[in-house]
Amino acid sequence: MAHQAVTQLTQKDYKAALQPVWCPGCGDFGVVAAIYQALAKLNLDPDRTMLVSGIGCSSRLPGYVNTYSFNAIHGRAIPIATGIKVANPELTVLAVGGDGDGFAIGTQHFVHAARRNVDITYVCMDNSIYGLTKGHVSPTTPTDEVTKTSPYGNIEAPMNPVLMALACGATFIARSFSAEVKTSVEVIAQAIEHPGFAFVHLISPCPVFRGRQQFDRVKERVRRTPEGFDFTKREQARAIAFEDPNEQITLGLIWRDQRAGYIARQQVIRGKAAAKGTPSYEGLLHSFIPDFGAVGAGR
Amino acid sequence: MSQEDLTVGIAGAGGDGVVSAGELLIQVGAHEGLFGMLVKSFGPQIRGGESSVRVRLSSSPVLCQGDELDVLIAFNWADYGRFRAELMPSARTLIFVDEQDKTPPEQIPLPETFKAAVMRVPFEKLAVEKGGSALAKNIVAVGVLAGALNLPRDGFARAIEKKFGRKGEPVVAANIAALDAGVAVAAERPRATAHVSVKEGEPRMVISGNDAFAFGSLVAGCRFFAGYPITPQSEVMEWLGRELPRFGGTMMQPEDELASICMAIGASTAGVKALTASSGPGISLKLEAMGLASMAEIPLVVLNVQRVGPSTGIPTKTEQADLMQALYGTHGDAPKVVLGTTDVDDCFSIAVDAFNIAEQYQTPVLVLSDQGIGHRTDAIPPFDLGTVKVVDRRLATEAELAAVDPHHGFKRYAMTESGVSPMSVPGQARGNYLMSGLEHDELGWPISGLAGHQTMSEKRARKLEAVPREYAHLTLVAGDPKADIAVLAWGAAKGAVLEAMDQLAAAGVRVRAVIPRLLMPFPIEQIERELEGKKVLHVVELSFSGQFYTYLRSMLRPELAARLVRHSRAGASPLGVAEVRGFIEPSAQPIAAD
Repeated sequence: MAHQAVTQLTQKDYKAALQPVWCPGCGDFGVVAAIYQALAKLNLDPDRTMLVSGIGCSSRLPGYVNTYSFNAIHGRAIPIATGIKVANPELTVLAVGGDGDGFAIGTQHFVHAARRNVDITYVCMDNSIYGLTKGHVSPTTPTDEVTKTSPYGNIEAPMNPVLMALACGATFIARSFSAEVKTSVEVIAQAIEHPGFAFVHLISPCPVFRGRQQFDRVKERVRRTPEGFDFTKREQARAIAFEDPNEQITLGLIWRDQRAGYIARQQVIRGKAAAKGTPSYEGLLHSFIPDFGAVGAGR
Repeated sequence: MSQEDLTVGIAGAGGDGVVSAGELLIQVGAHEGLFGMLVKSFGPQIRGGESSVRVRLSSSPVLCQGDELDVLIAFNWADYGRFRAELMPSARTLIFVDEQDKTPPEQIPLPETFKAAVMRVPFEKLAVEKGGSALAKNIVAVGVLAGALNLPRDGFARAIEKKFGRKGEPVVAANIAALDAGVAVAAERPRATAHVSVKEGEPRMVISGNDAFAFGSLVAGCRFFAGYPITPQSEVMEWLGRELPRFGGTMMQPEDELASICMAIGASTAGVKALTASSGPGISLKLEAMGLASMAEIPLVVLNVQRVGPSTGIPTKTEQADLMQALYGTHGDAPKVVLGTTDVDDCFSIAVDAFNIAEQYQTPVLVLSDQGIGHRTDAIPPFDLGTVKVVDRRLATEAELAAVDPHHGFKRYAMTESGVSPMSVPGQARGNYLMSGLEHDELGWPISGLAGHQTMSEKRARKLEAVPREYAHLTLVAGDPKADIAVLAWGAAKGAVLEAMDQLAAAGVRVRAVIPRLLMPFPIEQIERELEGKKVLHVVELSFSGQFYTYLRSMLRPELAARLVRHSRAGASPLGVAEVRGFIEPSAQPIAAD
């Protein structure tokens, strides 16, 4: 349940005074622009919106958005965002970060947030490199790629975030590319409105540590979901998840499922708990005092 | 030692109903107005293995589990043998064993001189004959105890009626017959020399340390808990998982310890009082996030129910060796508050203090409990809910937020004299800001220079300086203020120390006990004032390396530090009263009345 601002806001209203530290040409500029536009499109109340991140270049993003923002610790954006959302379901909560943050040190949280279907949006800005530490191999770096910690080429296979999200039971999966701001705005807005865990895989190239060719290779291969594509059909979503990124990268909403979100189920649990009677501290205290009935009972 | 005090041990195989017998004993004792303590011990099997209980009942508050038993009931010697160290009899102990036990005398795990006095009782035979099933043998045993200890038989009968009422009248009648069979057996045998007088009309509550902490947290206003199952903490999350949803709160069991503490941090950020709990291995994993709460000034309570370490250690046994981790475990200069609960009763009030401090000073508060406290059940006076004072965080007012420059945002980390800055929570208009684990300025914006880091480090440290003053009640003192001998202890060591002190006082040895429950920031002035003029400062703790001793050495001024005497050993078994007396007595000279 997203809360809207009282007046119609524009993307400028979501831009914070803090200036980005990102390098020229960084894909994250395109992502933050898309986030401003998506928030404006939904006219979300900045005071009831919260962005949470871990650590990494892209994790600086919450500081650049004029909402409640939290730049926390490496890998933990999702559990912090979960705690915020569960504690106050009135808030719109987004977790953002990079591929190292989400798919290396914080992988477990992604897996379980998807399964738990907690009502937050997770935007992973995937540049396939550890940029903040200046160019180390990441869980999505292609095999054979040379980085500072894969000097003879990356020996490992890259992770496939969309396939993983599908396997983990995410109920909303979309992909975009930092240069395709219009698509990004569209899928981020849809993700925010989705009740349940919404994952946006946002390819956001790093010109400094992956070179201009990374951007060009993505640019050449991206396409929108084809005409007639049905994101509610498991086999169609699966086909896109299994795409070879060297051949083709499909953008748009890939998969959506209607499974009830965590917040809705939490209300059911509270209803069951309420059936145990009116809660009071005195009642609980009394439950610890042995009571064997009236004196004189017992033969 | 008071005669109004007795300790019972029961040991048997899985299915013998040892734990139920112990629970019945403490519940009836509590119902009759006695104080008590129940300590359970289990074999390594996940379910159905041997078990033992130790129940101490007294007409005055029970400080610790005591040393020697007044009565021992063994359903068989083999199972008793596994708990011998926990259930030591003495020459005056009444010892009962099931007559069906066929252990050859030379294999009975008792000192030779005690063997002749062992009384063989047909527990199982009487259970079948009178109670209709071998399952009732624990009820026969309870009857024997009621008889041998002069406890009111009717109280047990009422408890049995309540316990078995749902199973129907015939089951109740059979169990009462089993109880009476036990009482009759005891009538023909010697009675225990120790006894307790019951006082009608002063019922006690029966509660474990873990439940007491969970209850205290709820009363303090905690409405969010996230944790990962770990012995000996899990009862805290079980209790809160049942009760929080009734009060509109949430208990979550996420994927790991990291997620647990981060969810709690998130919930607190959103304005809801939050708790996470674990034991040593899990606390190790939570430390990084505790540093985040310190840096971003987020109220948070973390409970560590300590167990034997390092690594997996001995999960079901107690130790006090996580002190240094609690004090210094986080990287960087990360101010936080560390509290040590000393008994079950304390768990309730210290949970309230912990939340109050966390909220008032916007800080993580780490509470150290331990397996001995968490898992034991005490019969104590009911908590006084009327005196509980709950403190909430200082939220920015509407007027303060109206004055915020919207271009830059709210100065969440504004410099104030106390170091505590007004805080906003999401939902408050114009209160938005950047909270961060990066060093930051007043707005929360990242900074990287010396001046800002120095200023912010001072702010975070300064705000906790008031804690020892405002929470002076957290330092416990007992005994004779004019004594030459002081004993310093923390946490669960309190029980044995106070009881040893009482015994020594009765023998004419004056001792002063000083037990800080606020361990960081350390109440130096208060403690040094208490230690002024003392000649010997005994430090008693369950840590092989003497962590508390080392800490005190670093905190006290040199002339006091030089008087510290270390008495520390590994855990796994709680400190005994005689053991603590043994530490103190060599330095004691009985003093003539002045």
